[in-house]
Amino acid sequence: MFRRLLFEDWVGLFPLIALITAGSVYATIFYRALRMKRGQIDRFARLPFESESTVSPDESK
Amino acid sequence: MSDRKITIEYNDHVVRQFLLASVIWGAVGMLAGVFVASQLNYWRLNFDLPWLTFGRLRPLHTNAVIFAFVGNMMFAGVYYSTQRLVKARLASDFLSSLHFWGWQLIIVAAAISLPLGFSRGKEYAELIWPINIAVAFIWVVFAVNFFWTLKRRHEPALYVAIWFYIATIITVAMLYIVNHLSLPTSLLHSYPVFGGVQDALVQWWYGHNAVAFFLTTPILGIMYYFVPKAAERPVYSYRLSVIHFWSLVFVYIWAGPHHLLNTALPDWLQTLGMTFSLMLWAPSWGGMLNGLLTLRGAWQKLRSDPVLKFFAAAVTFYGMATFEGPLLSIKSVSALGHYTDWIIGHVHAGALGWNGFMAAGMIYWLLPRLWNKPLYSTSLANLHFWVGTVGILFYIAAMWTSGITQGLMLNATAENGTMLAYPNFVETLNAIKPMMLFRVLGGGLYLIGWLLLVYNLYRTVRGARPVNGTMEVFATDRSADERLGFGSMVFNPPVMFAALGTVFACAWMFGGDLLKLAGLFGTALCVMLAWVHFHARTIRWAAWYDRLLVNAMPFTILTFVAVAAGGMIQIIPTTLVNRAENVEGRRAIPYTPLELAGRDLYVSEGCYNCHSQMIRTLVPDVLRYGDYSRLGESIYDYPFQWGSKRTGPDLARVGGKYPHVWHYRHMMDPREVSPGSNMPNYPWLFERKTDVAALDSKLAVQRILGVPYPEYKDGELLLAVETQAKSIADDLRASGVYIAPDREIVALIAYLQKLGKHEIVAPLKSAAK
Repeated sequence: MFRRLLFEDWVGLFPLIALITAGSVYATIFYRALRMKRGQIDRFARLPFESESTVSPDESK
Repeated sequence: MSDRKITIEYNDHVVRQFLLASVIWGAVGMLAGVFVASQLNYWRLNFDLPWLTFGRLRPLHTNAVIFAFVGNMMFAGVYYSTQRLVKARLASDFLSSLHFWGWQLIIVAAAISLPLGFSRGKEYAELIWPINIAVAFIWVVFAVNFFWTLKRRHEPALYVAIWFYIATIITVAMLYIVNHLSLPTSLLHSYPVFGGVQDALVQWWYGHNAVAFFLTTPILGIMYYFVPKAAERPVYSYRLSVIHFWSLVFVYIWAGPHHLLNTALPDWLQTLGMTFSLMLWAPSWGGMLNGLLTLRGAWQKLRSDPVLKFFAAAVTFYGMATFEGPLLSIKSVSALGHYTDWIIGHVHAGALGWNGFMAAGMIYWLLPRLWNKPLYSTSLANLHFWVGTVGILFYIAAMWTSGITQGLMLNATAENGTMLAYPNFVETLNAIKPMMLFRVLGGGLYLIGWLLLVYNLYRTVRGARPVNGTMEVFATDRSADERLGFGSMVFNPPVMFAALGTVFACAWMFGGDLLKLAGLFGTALCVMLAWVHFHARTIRWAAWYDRLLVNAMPFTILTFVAVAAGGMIQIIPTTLVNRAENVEGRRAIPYTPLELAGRDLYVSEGCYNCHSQMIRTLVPDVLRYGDYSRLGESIYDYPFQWGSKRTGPDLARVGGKYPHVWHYRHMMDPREVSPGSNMPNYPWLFERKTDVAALDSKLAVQRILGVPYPEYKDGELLLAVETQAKSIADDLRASGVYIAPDREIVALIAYLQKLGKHEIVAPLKSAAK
């Protein structure tokens, strides 16, 4: 369909490159996530649980 | 860290505003959905009024649900959780207000312009260019407000929810801007800069990732904050949440081409889209399990707590929808499911189950906290949950049955695959009408559930005084050790090795003889050096990563690189290669001015919502509609109109199939020539005059885009339009109907009769060898 100029051969490699690139970077991140320290993990996981109180907007003025 | 304590009062006013807006627009969007679903069953509900036709209202429904309902809910959740996670008030009250009111103004503008027929003709990207600019501007306001807040934070660590928000902000900006690049022809009309296959790829890169980064990642961030809060226990596995994040960021962006399987899209892109879609199974289910297992030890609370009920069901629907998505991305499954109601069912499992239930859970959890008053009725909230759940199940079961039924009927052949078993399209439509009615019932129940929420909300906040959250924090000065500047972000072993490795790998893949060899050695050397360096200097690698986790801007830049790579590797080769001058075989003949005017009417009326223009490389498609569509046949289509749903038949080769008078009668009353059709009547096309005056600027823009239109001298353009229009009107008169040549119906007939016409381009001699 398209003129078989320069492109046809090498475009077939894109899925391969995409897989290798994404896969390798992902593997690195995966490894780092697994190696995170227990203390660090616990601290991050508890971040949503800081206690807070409330105030009426009128009172705060 | 200083010993000095300060009290922060969060800006919960804007959270309340977004929350209320989400509830209201949610009801509007769902009501529009139930109405357009009813129109498919009862065509008379189109009322012969232009602004109430399905083609114009369906975009209103989708845009309202995505951008108005989920958008406002997302902003409420992001602003509420971010302030608490980073222990800082939103940076600017002015920007927060501007964000809120600007977004509502955009929604109102969309609600007016879409029914009036002002559309760009691309799904979820229909809004006209002035509104596009407003969206981009308000999104920047949101981004500035968000990142400025991170800059002022008192908590150095960035919780994983913040990561999801960061990915959302930068990726949606990138997707939206690229897919909305347009050249205006007037104040209310434009043509996209991409055409044909390029436009198809860019559109579904955007369309798929609108689901990924507008409807999924921010809601996952909300899940990682609100589910632990509601269950009163930390997320099941923080490690898994980190892996979930990076997996989605790296994989999701590549999967767009699965919307174009078995089409004229180059095969390598289809393979790419399918492969990455299948890879999505793992992270999506990892995230789902992480969400569900956060409820470990709290399952008994589900019996009484509606918030947890909604969250548990939402996460389950997330798992179900993300199982179904990759399944539908398998080419052979897509051959059955694509263009049918199965896709509609899949989308609604996500929208109603995942987004809608996450919204409901979050709203029920926030109401007592934002107004300092218990929820008016827990029982009503529980009732909402059950009515909504039954509604969703009705809806998706009906759409699965409908989609698979129609897919099987459309693809069924007889006589050893040489004939269609159901040659009449309307026969397949009538077979699914009962299921379409069940869909209305399911959607209606879901809407009733939502109205229960509206009533519960009204009774809760009536007479209540809104309150803002406050927190005491230590005034912090971040140490230099924690900061990661631009230089430190880039010039460090992990990034440098990754960048060098990519450069060498590209040289290896694409280079000439010598470069290829150098690339091969370079890549191997890079991998080995990285491995050795990592083992020798593990602490430096770990320290860089730890600092990255507490530095928002470097984290954002690297996330952007990850998502941008996925788009670039698909779009750049496609825009470079798939151009009109490279086409061989069949190439479109540019539309005449009258045909172009007719095409713009086709786009404006939203015909693409029900009709595709893409005959797939599948035997049943070819038997039903004609030879499969070639890439070059839509190369001058700005915007492309390949479509994504066939409530009516494909139109790629409808040109010349019927006489002019057939189209005339069909547009006046489809049932006159096609008994059983559910298509609306279009009487106004017979009364309104074609906008010939606009053609001058439209053709000028088309020329800039590369369509080979001649320069018309004085009067030539008008003469060309009048000559073709008169010829069609004369033909109609010979068939017994009278219509003035200047009416819109004549332009539309001219366009429809052009579909499928092409020229043959000989292959290059070098290629023939």
